[in-house]
Parts: sequence; C-alpha cells; structure tokens
Amino acid sequence: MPKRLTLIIGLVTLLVPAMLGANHTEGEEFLPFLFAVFAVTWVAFFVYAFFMTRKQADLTREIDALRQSIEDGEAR
Amino acid sequence: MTGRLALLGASGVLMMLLLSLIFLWVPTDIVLGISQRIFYFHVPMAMVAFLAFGVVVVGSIGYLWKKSERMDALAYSAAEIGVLFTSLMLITGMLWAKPVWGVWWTWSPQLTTSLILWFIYVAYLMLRSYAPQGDQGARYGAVLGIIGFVDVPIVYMAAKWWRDVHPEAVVGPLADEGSLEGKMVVAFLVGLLAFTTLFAYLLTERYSLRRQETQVERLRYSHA
Repeated sequence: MPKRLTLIIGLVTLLVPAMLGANHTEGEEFLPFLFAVFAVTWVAFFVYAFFMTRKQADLTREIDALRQSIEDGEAR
Repeated sequence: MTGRLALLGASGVLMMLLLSLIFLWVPTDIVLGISQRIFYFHVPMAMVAFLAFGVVVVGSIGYLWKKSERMDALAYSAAEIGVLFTSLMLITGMLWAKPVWGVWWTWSPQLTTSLILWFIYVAYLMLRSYAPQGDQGARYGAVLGIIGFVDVPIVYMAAKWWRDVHPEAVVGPLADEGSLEGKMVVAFLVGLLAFTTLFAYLLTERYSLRRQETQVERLRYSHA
C-alpha cells in the first residue's frame, strides 16, 4: 500500500474544503454537514486502507513462518 | 504496482478537481442551498456501490460457471468494497437528510431498500466468514451475491414506483432531460469518475490480497 500517497491525498482533500468553504457566506448553517460528509468519507477510506495494510502485514508474517517451518522440516 | 499507483494518483487528482468544482465552480441550488453540494459525493458513491455489486454478480457467475478461484476472489473483493461504498452512501444520505428534511432517517422506500441492500451484502461477507472454507462457502456466497443484486434496480426505481420523500433520479436513464443544470452535470461526472477510479484502485489492492489469503490458506492446510 502506498500509505504516504494515500495520507497526502486524504489530508489535502480534507483541508481544501475547509479553506475554500471559508469564503462561502450563503447557507452557512449547512457547512458543518458538508464538511462532515468529506470527513466521514475520508476517515472511512483511511480505516479501510489501514485494515488492508494490517492484513498484508499479517499475511507476510504467516508466509515467513510457513517458509521457516518448511525449511526446518526439510533440514530434519 | 505502477498501474495501481497510477490509479491512486489519478483518483487523488480527480478528487482535488472535484473539490475545487464543488466549492468554486458549481452554482448553489436555489431550493436546497449549500447542502445540495453533498450530492456530488452521495450520488457517485451510490452508483459506484451499484457497480461494485455488478462486479460481484459477474465474479459469482464466473465462479459458478468455471469454478475459477480468481472470479471468486473478484466477487469477494467487490462485495467488501461495495459494502464500504453503501455504508458511505447511507451515512452521507443521513447527513444530507438532517438539514433538508429535519430528520436523520425516515423509512421511505428508497432509504429502506438501500438499507436492505447493505444488509444483503453484509450477510454475504458474514456467510463467507462463517461458511466452510473452499468450494462450498464460495458456492453459497456466489448464489447470495447474484440474488442480492435484484435489490439494486429496486433501489434505483423506488422513488418512481412508490410515493417517496427522496427525490427521483436526476441522473441516469430515469432522469428527465434538464433536471440538472449544465455545470452540475459536469461536477457530477467528475465525481463519478473520481470515485470509480478510487473503486478500481481499491479493487485491485483487495483482489491481490484476497488471492494471497487463499494461497496461504491452502499452504497452511497442505503443510498441516
């Protein structure tokens, strides 16, 4: 997972609406809902990316353990 | 890997473009005001969720027909990402409903059928987790994945078929011509492209992870 790139994209897409939204004056009472939509969307994608990265790390660990156990079996 | 990075980069660029269009370019809706801008996230995510479940059907049919593990991995990965997009569709819908309707949730036909769609594919993921590993679980999953898709056209048609507080479709085959202003259509299409690219990226990542999971599982059993 290119984690850094995902993080940069996520941070920028969260900050840009906050900066751009500051210029809006009409219907300001709805702005928190708009930002909440962006925040929820990106947090969800981050959590999912984190879940995939962790799964990948677990798999790599398991593959190493299996390889080690096969090598030990062959050595005996 | 380069292809995946390109997909992630492209979805990032499109997302920036979408945000600048939403905040700087599209006109504010006269009736819904600034809250209408949620539309450019909510509707593309709903459409990408439908696309994901379409991929589940293709993968499931492919699995039942050819017994191909690759097709099963494709179906499973698409279902997981489809559930993510459906969850976001429901949450962003609630965040839009509160300022416009004054309630977070109402049991309108389109909302209810959308929630049922979410339950169907959550059930698919649970079935895959708890059913026996291997062919049997994959077969059960494939059948549920195909049957579950029946709800997708029902969600899309719900506002037309029944009296509904949810607005009728303003994009797609059911939409009346001119129901969305020109600039709004452009922003919507950019949003659709951005989320579709993100979906493609997530799908390739999840698919390769799923394939590895299956191979490790097989290794574990053959070694035990």
